[in-house]
Amino acid sequence: MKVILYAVHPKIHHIAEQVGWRWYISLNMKVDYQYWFKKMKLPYIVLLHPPLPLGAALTYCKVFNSNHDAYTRMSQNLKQVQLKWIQFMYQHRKKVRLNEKVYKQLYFETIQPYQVLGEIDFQITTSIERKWMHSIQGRGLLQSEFIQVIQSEDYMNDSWWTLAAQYLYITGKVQINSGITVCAQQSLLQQKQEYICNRCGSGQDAMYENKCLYCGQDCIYCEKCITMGKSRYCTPLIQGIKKASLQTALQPSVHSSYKVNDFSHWNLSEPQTEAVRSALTFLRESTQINRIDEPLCYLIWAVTGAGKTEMIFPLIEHEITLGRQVMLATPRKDVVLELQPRLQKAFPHLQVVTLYGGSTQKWEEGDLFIATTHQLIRFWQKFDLVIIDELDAFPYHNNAMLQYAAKKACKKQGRYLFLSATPPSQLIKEIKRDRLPHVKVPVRYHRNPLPVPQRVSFPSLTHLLKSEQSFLGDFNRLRKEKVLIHRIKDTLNRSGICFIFLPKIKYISPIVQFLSSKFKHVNVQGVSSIDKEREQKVQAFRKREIHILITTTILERGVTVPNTDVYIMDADSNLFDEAALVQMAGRAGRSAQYPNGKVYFFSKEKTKHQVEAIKQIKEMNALADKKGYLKNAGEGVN
Amino acid sequence: MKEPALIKNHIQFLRSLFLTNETKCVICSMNLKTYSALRLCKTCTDVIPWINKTICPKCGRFEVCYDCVRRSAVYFVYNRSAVEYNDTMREWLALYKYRGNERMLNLFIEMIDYAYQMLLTKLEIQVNHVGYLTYVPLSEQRLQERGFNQAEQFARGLGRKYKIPVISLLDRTKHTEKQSVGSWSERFSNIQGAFTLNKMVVQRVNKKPPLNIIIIDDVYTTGSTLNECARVITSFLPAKVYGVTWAR
Repeated sequence: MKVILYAVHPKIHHIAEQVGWRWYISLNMKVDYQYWFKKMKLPYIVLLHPPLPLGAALTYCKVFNSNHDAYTRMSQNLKQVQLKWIQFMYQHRKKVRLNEKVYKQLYFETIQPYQVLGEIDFQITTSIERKWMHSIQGRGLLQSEFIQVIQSEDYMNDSWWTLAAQYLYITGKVQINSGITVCAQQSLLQQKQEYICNRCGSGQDAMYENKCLYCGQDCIYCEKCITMGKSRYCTPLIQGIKKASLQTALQPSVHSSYKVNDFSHWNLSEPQTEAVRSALTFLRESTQINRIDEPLCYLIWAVTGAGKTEMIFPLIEHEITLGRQVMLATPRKDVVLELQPRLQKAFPHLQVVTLYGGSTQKWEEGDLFIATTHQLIRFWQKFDLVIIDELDAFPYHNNAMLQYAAKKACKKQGRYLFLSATPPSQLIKEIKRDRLPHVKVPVRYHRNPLPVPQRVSFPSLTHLLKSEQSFLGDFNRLRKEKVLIHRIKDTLNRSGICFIFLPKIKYISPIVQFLSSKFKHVNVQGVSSIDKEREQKVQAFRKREIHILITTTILERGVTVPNTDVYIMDADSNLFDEAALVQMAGRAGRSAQYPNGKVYFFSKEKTKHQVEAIKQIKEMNALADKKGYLKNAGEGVN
Repeated sequence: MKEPALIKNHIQFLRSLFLTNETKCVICSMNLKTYSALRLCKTCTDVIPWINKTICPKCGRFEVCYDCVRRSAVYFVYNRSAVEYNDTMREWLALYKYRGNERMLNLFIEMIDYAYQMLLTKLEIQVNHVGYLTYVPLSEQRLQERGFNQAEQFARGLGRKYKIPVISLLDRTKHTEKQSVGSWSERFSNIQGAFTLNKMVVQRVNKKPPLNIIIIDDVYTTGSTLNECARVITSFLPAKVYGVTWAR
């Protein structure tokens, strides 16, 4: 959209510390007339015609405001100053993407109160303002999203939202930014232009340039976050400034029932309690350190099956009692839906808001938010604590956009809490350098050691499947496959279930065929991401109706069935990294009744990933033993 | 085995020198190994349900057509569509129209070109006999919502390709509900009187016959939109009106 750029002079409006002209943009001049003429009693303002695309206007506005000496000092002659301004705008027209035609039309007009007082025909009551503030603070909303939020409150006409936005902007309740800005690090005089998306942080690669109806010239938009709405150079991104603290509206009963070091009511095991305690220490201390720039991070490194979710509860309780807002971001929608009733039950007096694609609570305000990671993009410096579950999983891992969104959603003085069983290598490095505060939970809730994978030498699947026809291959295979068949028989004899992981989808059906020919009375099934009956099969597997399930890494997380043995074929494939191997190995021995599941790495080569994965599991077991967490200490460790 | 990171980075760098964003598949952003006019990868190209056979000669439908039989008065001569409007195509159009992924425009223009070629073979007329391209207009409200008129963009793209003048012959006077919902008769009565001729543009039109005008639109469902547009045009201009739509 196009906005008006104007300047006011501070000498006139009695603010001592400001020395020059102050520049503002306006979506709706009525508001500005009212503010400057009626409230601040200024004799005039200087207004630039015609309206400029928002991005350009904002860039000029920023430069003029930061450059007091050169462009904002009041000289004797207003006309001269204005000429200087226009010259400056001309010099930098390319940088701000201003059309040549528009430049030629630029002129300044001095507006005095008597000219415009008739136009001020609106009234904003404090109750409306409070309502707006309530729904917008801590959010970063594009124009269309802002309209949705405001309209659901009070709807008058189409331009009503500009009035609201401008009112909040001029009174300092929101920041107006453009969806995309010219990159700030670049010096003004440099010819090269770099753009970044203010919403998702994407750089030059994600930008697409084309003609735009709203600003009437070539405009750019961000392709990365387009699924969440179109962020343009000329679209306002309205960021509601959050009030410093929210220590209000909490019943005293909540305070009194909360005791700092007592969380016995959460039924945590001893290792969990210890981890929670150190995490709480971090949360408490981090608020006392004065920081301005970056939120602090804390990592809970808990092995698979340690009960991470249960450990979050006391942490949320701690934050909530202090009147802070918490965001719990998790990769999948079903996890959000599963957590909602559990959290609501644990904190019945809290407003729990769940956000995901198609959520009905999209614009609601609450104390505790549970959301899929993508939803973080709509927040701006809102939360005191952002918890990111399964840090190393898709889609958060290696996704710069979501990491930027998470950073943005957290207050500058806020904290992140990462939860992971297999932190990415970058974080492990930081742990080794002692830069990242963390706690390890090295044992499962049932306090049995993690099953340590055994490596079994086995030909690669490609070779195995190819050699089916050849004479020599047949002979080799018959000998080799015994290794596998023997172990599967063993598992089934113990009435266990086999969970077989393969690196590629194309191997699934031949292996299914092969195994069902060997085990005629056993239900053998294969599941992949392209399988339409995926849900049903996983359900059947959970009910123990399938005895041998063959799958890819899609089921490496989340699926937990008691008494399973894990078989990883082609464990030397480069599609299985250390984290994936540890996650898959973590499917075994989850339940307290059958804690001694078996894990096998079938591979031709002994690769670094396998060695590291086994090492990581052994280290965790050793640590658990050292701390005395294990049930039968000294006996269970392999 | 995995290639070392250093070499991988070099390969990526070299690729980036030769391959810009344009050589990624516009749908699934996979890197394209070979040149493709549609800028699609093979998997995405294969899912396009091109209309190869037209059963209804009037509207270019790929199956037996009841709408053309049912209609009392038809004002356009022929319509041709490029693809069958199935779920995948619906998804693609939604990505472009509602999500606003404008990088896909080129793909749509290339696809609609196929329908245009089909029309030309049917008509056996030369390219330069097509006088003007025009498009189905959007109401002001919808235009503001969406930021562009997809039919206009298709028409402009096609016009640029074959150097045919594109004119905005029609104005939308009535803000109708989306034509993608509602029954046949609802659509028919909705669209009645929704368009008028733009007087300024009509004056500039060279009215010397044979005057052939092609109306471009994205989706032809029952044809009532196209028919209504054609009715308005033929009632003021001595023209033969054809339709070229992306999907049917």
